[in-house]
Amino acid sequence: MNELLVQSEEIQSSGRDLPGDGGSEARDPGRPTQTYGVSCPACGGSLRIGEGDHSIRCRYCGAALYIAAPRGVRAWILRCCISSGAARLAALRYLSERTGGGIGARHASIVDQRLINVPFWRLSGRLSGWIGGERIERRVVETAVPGPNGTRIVHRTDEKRRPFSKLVCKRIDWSTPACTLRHLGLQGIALRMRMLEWEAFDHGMRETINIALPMKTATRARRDGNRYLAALAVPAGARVKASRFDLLGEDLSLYYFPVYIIRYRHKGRIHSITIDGNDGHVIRGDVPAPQHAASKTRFVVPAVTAFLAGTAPLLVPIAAVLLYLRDAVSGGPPAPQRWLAWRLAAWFGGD
Amino acid sequence: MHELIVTRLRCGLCGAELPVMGRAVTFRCGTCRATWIIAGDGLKEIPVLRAACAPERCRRPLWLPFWVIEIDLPHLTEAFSGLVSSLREKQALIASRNSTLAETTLPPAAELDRFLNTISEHGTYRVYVPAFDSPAERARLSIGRLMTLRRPAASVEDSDGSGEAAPCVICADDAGVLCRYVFLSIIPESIASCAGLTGELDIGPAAPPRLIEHPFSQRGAALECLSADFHISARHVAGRPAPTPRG
Repeated sequence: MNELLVQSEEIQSSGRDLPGDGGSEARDPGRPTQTYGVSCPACGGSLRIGEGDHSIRCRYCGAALYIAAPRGVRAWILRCCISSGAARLAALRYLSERTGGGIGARHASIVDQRLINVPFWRLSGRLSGWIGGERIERRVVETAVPGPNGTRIVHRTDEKRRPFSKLVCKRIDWSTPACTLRHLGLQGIALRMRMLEWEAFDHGMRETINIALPMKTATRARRDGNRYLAALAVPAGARVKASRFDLLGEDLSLYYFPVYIIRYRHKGRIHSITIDGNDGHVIRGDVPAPQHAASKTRFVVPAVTAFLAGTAPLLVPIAAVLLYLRDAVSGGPPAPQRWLAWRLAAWFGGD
Repeated sequence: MHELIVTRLRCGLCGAELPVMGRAVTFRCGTCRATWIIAGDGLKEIPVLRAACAPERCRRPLWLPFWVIEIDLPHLTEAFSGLVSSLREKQALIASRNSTLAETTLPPAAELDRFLNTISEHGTYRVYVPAFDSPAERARLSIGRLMTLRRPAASVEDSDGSGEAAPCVICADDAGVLCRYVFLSIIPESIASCAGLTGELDIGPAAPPRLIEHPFSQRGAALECLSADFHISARHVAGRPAPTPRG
């Protein structure tokens, strides 16, 4: 009902709107849209503000509104679109595909599955800058030098330094994980931030959903971003003597991206798979390496066992106990009654 | 904590609703013709001027907005000479310690003098920062450079808002920052590549920036500036697709 009312009121605008801009209904689908948790001051309806927009029209009451310079760090969250069952299925399918059907649901028992919203810092804006320095050109010169044993070729490296200056002016969009994610396999999600619809993050959400806390501060993220972007502007083989950069329309925001972390056990070892909570694809997955018995082990283990049994039969159980203790200290073997089978499989391979 | 202020977009003089302009930061009232710009948390009225153009030349032109910033020439000359003398001292010191380390880090004095004479010959020097939306950020510097070097006539008149005008997407503060880079783009390479000189150079505006619209006329895939006689590609102005070639 509200949607219908909007269209009739939009006609009553006294000014002349910029064609194709600002109207929430007739938005270009390719243009990034963000859902802000901001209400219309006229009707209280939820506003949708496109990235970079300074003025919008409320899609409920048709009121023209403008956005003053935002202050502070904004936080966004992407709602998870994948159910836990679908994530589990994607992980098992991935395992089966990667091992050629060798590991299926029967061989891998899922021990833990968590949906975590992982934070990312995103820095965007218009970078303007200037770099001055020297461009270093090196080339190898071959010179023929006459000697007592005839002419020989001597290689010499010539270095030529030429002063240069370069102006930089471009739009930038950079993102970095805000916490340590080495085992999750996520590097950056700048492109996804432009393509997907995000909701304003409300700190009350922390009570209902799993949030990984950002370990990198906004200051450090900004510094890292500026350093990275400045380094990107430097031409190859150049030495920078002076530079200055300005980021206009700078926007530093925190984005929480949903991922499933699925841990499964295979042959007594725990492995993990990371599933994208938005589209269900596998971001990263540990696949157990196929175990092949080394030729040395194949020979040494029976030989040592035979030697111990031949020397003193009591030495065999003592060696087994010591080996069990060593396995217990290093990685946690399965229960003692299943340990022998596990140990033999580790030595000689096979499922 | 983040704060986002959303306010009704109304003219501060007559109270009429202003047009929604998307990325633009200026709004022109359809009723009383006043122009407003987003400044801080509110709207501020600004005068929008138009470059004077002969009516026989300006037939249905496209008006493109530029921030025009007048450079404080005495400050600039002083800054240049101060930097040059300090660099000369450093160079002499290095040369006295080790002659092999003495590098030619300074541009020729004649080149510097010629540049300073060029920019100060008319008493004032204006830097033009394109304020319209452009899909290519780099083009903003190139167009600003062309406009600054061409020095269009300074005569302006109040804009009546008639005709087709591109919206302004750059606020005055950002224009002040971009002015520095447009100015660096007009410095000859022999001076600009002297890192010790250009890196330290600080140009100061003599007056607050003014928003001036200049007339452009579409000629095929190019836009001809009617006030400064140069061409730019129509692709560099957002919302102006270049016409497809015939045949």
